[in-house]
Amino acid sequence: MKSPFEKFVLKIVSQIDGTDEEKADIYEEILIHLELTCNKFIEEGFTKTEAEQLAMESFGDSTTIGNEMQESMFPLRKLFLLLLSVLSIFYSIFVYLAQLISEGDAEITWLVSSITTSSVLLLFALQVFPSIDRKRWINTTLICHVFVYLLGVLLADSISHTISIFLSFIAISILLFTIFLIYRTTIIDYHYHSSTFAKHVKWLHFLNISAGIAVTALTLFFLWAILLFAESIPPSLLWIFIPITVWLLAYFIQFRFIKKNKNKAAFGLAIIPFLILIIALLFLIWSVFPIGVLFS
Amino acid sequence: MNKMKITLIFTAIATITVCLVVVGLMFNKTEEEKMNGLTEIYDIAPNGTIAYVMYDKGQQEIVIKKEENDISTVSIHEEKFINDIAFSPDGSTLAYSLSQKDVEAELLSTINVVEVATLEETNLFQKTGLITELAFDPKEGNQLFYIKADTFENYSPIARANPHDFDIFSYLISEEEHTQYTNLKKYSMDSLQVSSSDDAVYIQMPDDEASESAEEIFDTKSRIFKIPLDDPEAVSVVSVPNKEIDIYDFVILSDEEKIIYQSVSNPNSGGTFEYELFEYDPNTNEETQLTNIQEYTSRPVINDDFIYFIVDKQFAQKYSDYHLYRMDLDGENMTEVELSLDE
Repeated sequence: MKSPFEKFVLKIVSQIDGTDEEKADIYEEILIHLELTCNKFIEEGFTKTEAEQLAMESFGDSTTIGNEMQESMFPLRKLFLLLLSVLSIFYSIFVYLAQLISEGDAEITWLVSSITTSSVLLLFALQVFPSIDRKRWINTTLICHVFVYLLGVLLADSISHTISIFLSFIAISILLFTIFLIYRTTIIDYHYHSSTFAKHVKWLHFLNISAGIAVTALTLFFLWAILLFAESIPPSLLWIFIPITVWLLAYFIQFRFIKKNKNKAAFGLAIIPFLILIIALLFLIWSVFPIGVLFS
Repeated sequence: MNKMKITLIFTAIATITVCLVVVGLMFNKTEEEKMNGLTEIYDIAPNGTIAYVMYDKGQQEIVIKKEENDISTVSIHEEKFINDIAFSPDGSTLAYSLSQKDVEAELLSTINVVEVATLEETNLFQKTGLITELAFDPKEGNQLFYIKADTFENYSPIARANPHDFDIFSYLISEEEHTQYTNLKKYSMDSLQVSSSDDAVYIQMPDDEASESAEEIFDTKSRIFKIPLDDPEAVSVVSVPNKEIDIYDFVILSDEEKIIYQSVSNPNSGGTFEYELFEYDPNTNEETQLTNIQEYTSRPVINDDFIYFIVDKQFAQKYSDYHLYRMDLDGENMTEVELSLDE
């Protein structure tokens, strides 16, 4: 059975997105502070129950304090998420209406997808459900948002009106801002238990996110090129998804290595997606400019 | 922020989304509803009567314009698609080729003729395959030539389905008799034209007879060929020999001394291709660019010392915007031909 203080402090700590060690430190510090304040009130003549209540009241509202501590530990996260979600919601409404009026196309699936990812980001920004593992869920939502806005760019581009240029610019801005927040959430907005481990993990994340963006872009380019001529993806061309699969597997295995302190193996594996990219780029260059042309 | 405010914000977002979805369902247009206006398909009779195919909310119809205010319409079944139309040499009848809109469901073509004066329609024949073009023999209105594709499929896994295996045929109307002239099974064939003096036809198709490997086939260029009907294997190129740019739609002047054709004017610019009309004189081997519209210019037809042609003012965009133009034979005095597109 938890004491009222323990319940109170747990509620505060549950709103903080730090490491287990950080949360344990904060938990302990607040608990000690509350017990000291409680003792002071008991010395002043209050009963134990009254003193506990007064100590918690004098400390402040647990939700507000948890929110403020989260903001002080991760400055700008709330602001950035708020900015992205609000901008995305307004853009979704505007581009949807522009498509409907100009082209006669009601892009309902896209609208609902965009409003959903934007609203979930707004939920994170307003810290409505603080207890869930935010880093993982924020990144999942941000990745979904990237794909929604890849389509958002195409939607803006397909509007046969000069407003298309402005809308495309906004969509690209949202897309780049979302990618920036993926880097930020993964590398900056997360604390690790040791500085050496943190350095390695941050580098691995940086390399893998960069490779992931490039591999996904390349796969989408091939997918677009195929669908430009064919009505569907023939099974013989499903190999285009191999680079993404290899990248995901390599990302997963690297973190198995790093947890076992096999840093060299982890970083060695991180190079694989880049090698795939170099081979793909050489293939593209060779396809466009035959080798004879390059050396003539 | 308290829970009440948060609930209000998300309720507002949900309400707006539902309203937008309802508005979308009310005002969304189907692909067919978006298809309106002129198509590329038209023909002009020697007496100046213009027949053209247009879309009215996705439904095709043939409009026959004899005079400014003498316009009549031939409607077709909503499940059918018009592939081509052709006036008889005296302009009294108009033949048209119909197929299913969903070609892959049934590869069958129906050829009908309509009397221009009475709009009375008659079925000439039906053939398995896709009859993509029609042309009357200008020397004799009793013979209708056509090109027919035997398949509608994608030759490569990364290509859309298209008509292939083309050959040239004719139909002798009085005898109800079909004749097959070629057995080329060509990848593509377009712009069928019957010679006004010789017993021959002209056609645009890939110059791939000498190609063996896939790379060679990929590198072949479309040219204009003359095919003598009494010896169809004696095929000869009549367009610019060894031209390294494809030639598409064309028309041969009745004296057969000049060819007007469509080709790309900026093949090396790196930008969107611009399709213009060119004139080629086989005697002097001289080629002249006739138009410089910088859009998509196609389907030249000669009538009464004018070159008629189509311009797509929304080329490379989602929906085409075709307009009919005409100009003098030397490319001067270009004007748009007024058509009744609201009929």
